[in-house]
Amino acid sequence: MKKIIFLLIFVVALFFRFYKITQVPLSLNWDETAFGYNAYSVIQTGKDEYGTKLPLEFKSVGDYKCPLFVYFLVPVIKIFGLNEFSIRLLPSLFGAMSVVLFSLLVNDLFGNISLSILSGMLLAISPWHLQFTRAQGDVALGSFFVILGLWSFNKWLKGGRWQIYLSSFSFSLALYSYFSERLFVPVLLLAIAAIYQKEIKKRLKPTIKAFLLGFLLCLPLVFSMLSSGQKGKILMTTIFGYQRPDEYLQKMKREDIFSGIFNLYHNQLVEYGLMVIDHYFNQFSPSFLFVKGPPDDRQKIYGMGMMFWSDVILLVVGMANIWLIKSKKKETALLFSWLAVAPLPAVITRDPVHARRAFEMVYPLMVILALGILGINKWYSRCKSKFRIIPIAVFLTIFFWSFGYYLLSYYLLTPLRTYQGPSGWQYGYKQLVEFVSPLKDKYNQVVIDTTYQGPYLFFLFYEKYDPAKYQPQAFLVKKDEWSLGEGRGYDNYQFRDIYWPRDRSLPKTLFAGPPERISKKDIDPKQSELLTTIYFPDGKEAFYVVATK
Amino acid sequence: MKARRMNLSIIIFILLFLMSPTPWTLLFNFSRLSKAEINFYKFNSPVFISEINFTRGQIKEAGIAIYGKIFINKFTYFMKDAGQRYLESFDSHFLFTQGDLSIEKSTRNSGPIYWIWLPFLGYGFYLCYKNRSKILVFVLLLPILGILIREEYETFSRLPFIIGMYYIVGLGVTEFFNKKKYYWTKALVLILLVFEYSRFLHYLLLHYPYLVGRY
Repeated sequence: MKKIIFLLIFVVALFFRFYKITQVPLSLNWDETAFGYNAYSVIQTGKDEYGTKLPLEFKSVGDYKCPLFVYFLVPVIKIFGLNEFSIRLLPSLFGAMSVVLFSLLVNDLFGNISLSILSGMLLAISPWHLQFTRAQGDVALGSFFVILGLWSFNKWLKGGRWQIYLSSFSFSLALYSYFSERLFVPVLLLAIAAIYQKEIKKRLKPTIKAFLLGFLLCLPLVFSMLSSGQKGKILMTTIFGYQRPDEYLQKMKREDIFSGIFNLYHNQLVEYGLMVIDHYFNQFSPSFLFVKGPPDDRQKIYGMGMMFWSDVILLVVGMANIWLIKSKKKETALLFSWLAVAPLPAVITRDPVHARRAFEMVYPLMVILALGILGINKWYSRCKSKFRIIPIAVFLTIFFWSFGYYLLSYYLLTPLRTYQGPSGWQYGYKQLVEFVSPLKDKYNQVVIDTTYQGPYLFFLFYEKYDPAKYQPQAFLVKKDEWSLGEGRGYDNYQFRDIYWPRDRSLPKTLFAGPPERISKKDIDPKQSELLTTIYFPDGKEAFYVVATK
Repeated sequence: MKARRMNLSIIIFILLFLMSPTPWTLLFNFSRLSKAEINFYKFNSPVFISEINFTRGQIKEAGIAIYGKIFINKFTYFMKDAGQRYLESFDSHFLFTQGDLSIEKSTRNSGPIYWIWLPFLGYGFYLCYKNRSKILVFVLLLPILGILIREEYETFSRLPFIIGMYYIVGLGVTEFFNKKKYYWTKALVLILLVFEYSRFLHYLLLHYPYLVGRY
């Protein structure tokens, strides 16, 4: 019976992760295309797009991506080809497997089958989990290996032998999957070591062996972390590289009567410390969890936060019912350590709130929600009032409304609002490639504007351009040291900003750019011709494709 | 003994509230705020209506108009907005970091509650829950007042809630300081409180006047 239930959870998780997988989100974003093209490049040449042999960090647009997802994509692309389905297959599959594994982990930890099934079912339909396991694969992969590591560690604790090595291996793979895991996993392991110190001391030898195995596996990573690219990335994204604006500092100095006051209240320790605390609690704020979600288009679901509205009730009731698992002190400590540690990667970055970097929060939250359901059930069975059905009916109405709203928002309303630009889903590039690619040989140059960022990746991806031919031409142009780069171009393609007053005089050139770059009224029919307009899903103009004579 | 502790916690609660940023900021801008109008929440807000119509139009175009009627209507929008306004009161941005969105009701440098009180707030909630105190339910109901006012994150309508939160902080502080150990932690809490309080006063007296155009 248990097996059938877990199978059912897996099927539900699979359904929600694979339904319309290539259509929603609307299009691949530049991260997905970069992962895909680099995997394709590895298949064809054994090198990344820049010609580095089997790298441990993929330079890509200058963000030095983690390697594991790229290497996992290699067999998938080999079988299914370089397309949307191949890129999204793995996150969905690993996401669905995470759901079942998490359910098993909860069962092993708390020995409560109802809690385990409810946690699994809630995770299977969790908007937060679905958001990052239907697309943007590296998160899903990293998270799966964290769950696998925890599950196998717990199996070992309960008398297993080899599972500690599997745990060590899994945690190591998590570090190769996604950046956030590089902070989350070590801190979580420290917490685990503190919680289970007695058990670990009793079986010190295998623990040391497993630790050494993990250390050896992660050693190459340590070296790659020391590369200048990684250092740059850390400085670019975290608060460690953040400098307060000069105007702000000057203003504060001017207003403070003497420098002692300024040094006391506006020193880096105080201001950055407050920023870190603020970021940490933002991750738990109702606005993020239930109301608005993160500001980033690629992470958000229109009209709601990362959880259902009904989860507000479950969260409060769940917290009030923690006593249901109080006999499992260590496991409860693990659960809360997990929840406390999970936001850390998001906290040290500059964004005030981040659903992707704090993705690991979703798991312990699901257990608390499941406890909420158990608590409600307990109350219902004890309550003798004939009106006891009313709060249950209200709760179920809120739940079904929230779930229905989520489906409507995720499949219809969100795509219509998050299609544009690098923080969104970069819609329009596929259509642009399909139009431009057959025409490119007729022109001296093809200039693609970079306003929406990353066009070179989409051209390489959808043209399935031979990596062996691209590698010698690969060159990343960066506007400044803090920004991500753009591929300069290949063959007769140029990827750069279009300045129409100057560029329109270039003969026999094909231009593609947004209306902000190529004004329709400035397209002189004697000089150039508007070949087509590519539209966003809501009918707004995305690209003009203009040819000069 | 219990009554004495209760009295002590009430004194501490009043003291903590008086030290908090809210009364100071409101007093600072008293003359302006006393003339301010109260804007009550409107069920038929034109912003609502236009958003509902726009979203419904998109749903209709997708050929599932019935879903639009079920999920996007005035009642659901109002309920969502009411829920949002209720939860705003618990937002860390409102409580600890920035407070009211209006520059006249908050210095924007700290919320109504100092960060240092956060653990005591948690502890106070735990004590209330443990003792099945009715004050907990009362405090959880108070943010409903915030729904009645049009402005988001509004302080006046949330004053009773803020006072309630300080009562809970007071409970936590009293209980903690009555324990006959943790001397170092107590000293640290006092140092951090002095620092937080002086940081707020420094901001109120030196930077805030520039922000509200008093200089």
